[in-house]
Amino acid sequence: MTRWGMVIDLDKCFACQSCTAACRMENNTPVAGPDQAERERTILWNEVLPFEEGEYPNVTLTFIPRPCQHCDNPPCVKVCPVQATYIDEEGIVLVDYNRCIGCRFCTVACPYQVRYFNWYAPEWPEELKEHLNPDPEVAPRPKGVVEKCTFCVQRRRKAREQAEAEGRPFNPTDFIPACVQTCTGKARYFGDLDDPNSLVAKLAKSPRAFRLQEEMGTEPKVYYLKQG
Amino acid sequence: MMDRTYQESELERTVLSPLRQTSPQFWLAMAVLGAVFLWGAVMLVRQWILGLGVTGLNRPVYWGIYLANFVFFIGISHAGTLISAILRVTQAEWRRPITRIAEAITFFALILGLLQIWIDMGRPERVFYPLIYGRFQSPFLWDFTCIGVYLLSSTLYLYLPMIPDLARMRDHMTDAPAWRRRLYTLLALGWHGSHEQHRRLEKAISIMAILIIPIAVSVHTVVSWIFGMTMQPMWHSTIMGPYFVVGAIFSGIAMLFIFMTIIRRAWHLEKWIGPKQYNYLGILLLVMSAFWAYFTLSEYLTTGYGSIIHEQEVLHAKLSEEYAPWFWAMLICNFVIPFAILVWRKGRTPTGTFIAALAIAVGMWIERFTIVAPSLTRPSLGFEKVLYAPTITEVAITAGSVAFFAILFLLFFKIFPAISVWEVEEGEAIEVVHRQAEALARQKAILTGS
Amino acid sequence: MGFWIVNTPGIGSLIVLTVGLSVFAAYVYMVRWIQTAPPDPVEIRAPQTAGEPEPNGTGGES
Repeated sequence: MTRWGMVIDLDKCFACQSCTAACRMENNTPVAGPDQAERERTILWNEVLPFEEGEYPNVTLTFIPRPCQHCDNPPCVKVCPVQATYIDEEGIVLVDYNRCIGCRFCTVACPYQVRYFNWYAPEWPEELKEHLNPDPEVAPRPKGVVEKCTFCVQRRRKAREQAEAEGRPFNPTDFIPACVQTCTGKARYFGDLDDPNSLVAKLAKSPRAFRLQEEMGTEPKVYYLKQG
Repeated sequence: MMDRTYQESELERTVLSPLRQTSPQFWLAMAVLGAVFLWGAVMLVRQWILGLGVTGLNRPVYWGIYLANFVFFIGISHAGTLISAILRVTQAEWRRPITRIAEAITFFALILGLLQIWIDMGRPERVFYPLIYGRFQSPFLWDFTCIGVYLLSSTLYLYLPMIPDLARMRDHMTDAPAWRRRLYTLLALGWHGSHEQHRRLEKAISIMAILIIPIAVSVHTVVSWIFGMTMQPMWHSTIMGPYFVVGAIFSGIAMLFIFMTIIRRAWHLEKWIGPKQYNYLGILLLVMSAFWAYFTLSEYLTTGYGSIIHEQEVLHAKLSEEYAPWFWAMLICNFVIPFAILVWRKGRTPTGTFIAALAIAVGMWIERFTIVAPSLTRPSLGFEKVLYAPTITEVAITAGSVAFFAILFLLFFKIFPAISVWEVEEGEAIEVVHRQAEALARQKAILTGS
Repeated sequence: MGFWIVNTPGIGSLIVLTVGLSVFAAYVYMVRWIQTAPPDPVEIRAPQTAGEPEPNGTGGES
């Protein structure tokens, strides 16, 4: 069974945020606008987080791109009262928008704040509307439900369909999420963590590899390679 | 066919008079409360139409005032059970005139508490999904189980001791409007008050009084576990369950003081709800205040003495940063003011306890708020510090909820007697018998010449 | 192994409803038990008002 995972090399990342932009276009996350952005209401499935350390003049700023960590032991799934959020057989944590009751228990349970809530009905300016991704799987979410990074499951589905049409078995290298595809510094790697020969599995074992808040026991499947 | 020779006792006359006539002040109070309620209702409809964006919530402060209200209302629902049940079990005679008021607070506070969860939902139309797709691993399901059982139990616990009074009203309140007489007849269940029936009723009440104590404890424990089961700094703590239960009983007694004093004044029940109740219940409130302070100290000292970064940040938010005014106001309201008043015998008067209880009601709401919000503003990932400022919508809905609670409570006591007449009479009879027994014993002592 | 009990959607609802309904049934039974208590022997009773469940005094299943 495939166990999808991601590795992000912080040495190669220069915080250009093209992953954030690509994710938005691929997954149809709505435009919040300056007013809502100021109120911390933006929906960015793949945010680049700044970590400031030290005091002026000795300051270091680290940027960490943060998609959903797709934990093997996800706290969000545990607390959902209606199983609107669940982990699929390949380890991807997903949300059923038709089931979600909008209680936001998962959003407070997630120690990575990767889950976003639709405060209002989603809106786009006219010019952007025609560029929405037509894939029904990423159709704009209604107001009042939670959404988050899915490792681009719609791309996985398409790759599977194509492999089937071509009459060959589906290969974990057949698809990559939009953020990996677009990454300017080629800092992101994506693949099957259960396949010991895959690049992600090897990089995950690197001495530079770490995961966010490992002490929480959430077993994230997103690995980072330390800077420097 | 009605017994025309029936003479109402002074107790009956006083207790039933608010059910017969309504003062202009009552209508004025109703109008004000109704207006506040309407304001909240309009804002709630607006929130449903536009979305939860009309609140001050954001990422990562996904929960705010509505959750604080939820914990607060479920907390004050402990007024009825814990007080009425514990006092019944321990045979405290002075409980008799105040148990019904306490039990009514429980019933309506529970309804308001459940309402807060619904108000907080992003998809209110899916409110029944937990009853279709419910997953028991989620602490929400534990809450539905415990609160459901508690609601059923406290409804019965309010109803059972009311049956003899309902029968009395069915038989003697011939001047009441027809719909109310039908209501009394229906609810009196054909009560005829035979010895056997009385025995069964008393037995049922005793069973419920004992049963409801663990149920009430379970309710506020699982409410705390909504927070305790997440890994948020200062939520993920084993003290949460007991701390919430202590706070619940504490705020419940305070709420009982507030409503008992209002009803006593408005319904003219001074003769029955008197110094004894205020003194004894005041001592109980004082003890709970000390308990609460002890739990608070345990929690904050343990957190502060350690050096876990994420917890320190939340602690500082409460002690010295933007939540400091709330935190210190909470300490003053919940400990300093009540302690300063209640520790004196002269402070445990209706006025003194009313002031202390008002301070505690405010302080306990702040306590709930400073548990819910600060932890969320300092996420453990530590990339940012986010502020949360409630909007007018949240204020309106909170005010509307409180008004709704008061409306339900006051209307209830316009239809049903605020004092359990038969229980107070029973208490008076017991006292008479006691006195007679004492006199008899004295006589006997004289006769045997000791 | 027992994880499915807490994890399956619907089982939780079943638990809530089972607990709630059985408690409700028990309480209804309790109220009925009070309601069907036999009246005192007839000679010392005043005329009955309406709503009496059983005319004779044999009711009550204690």
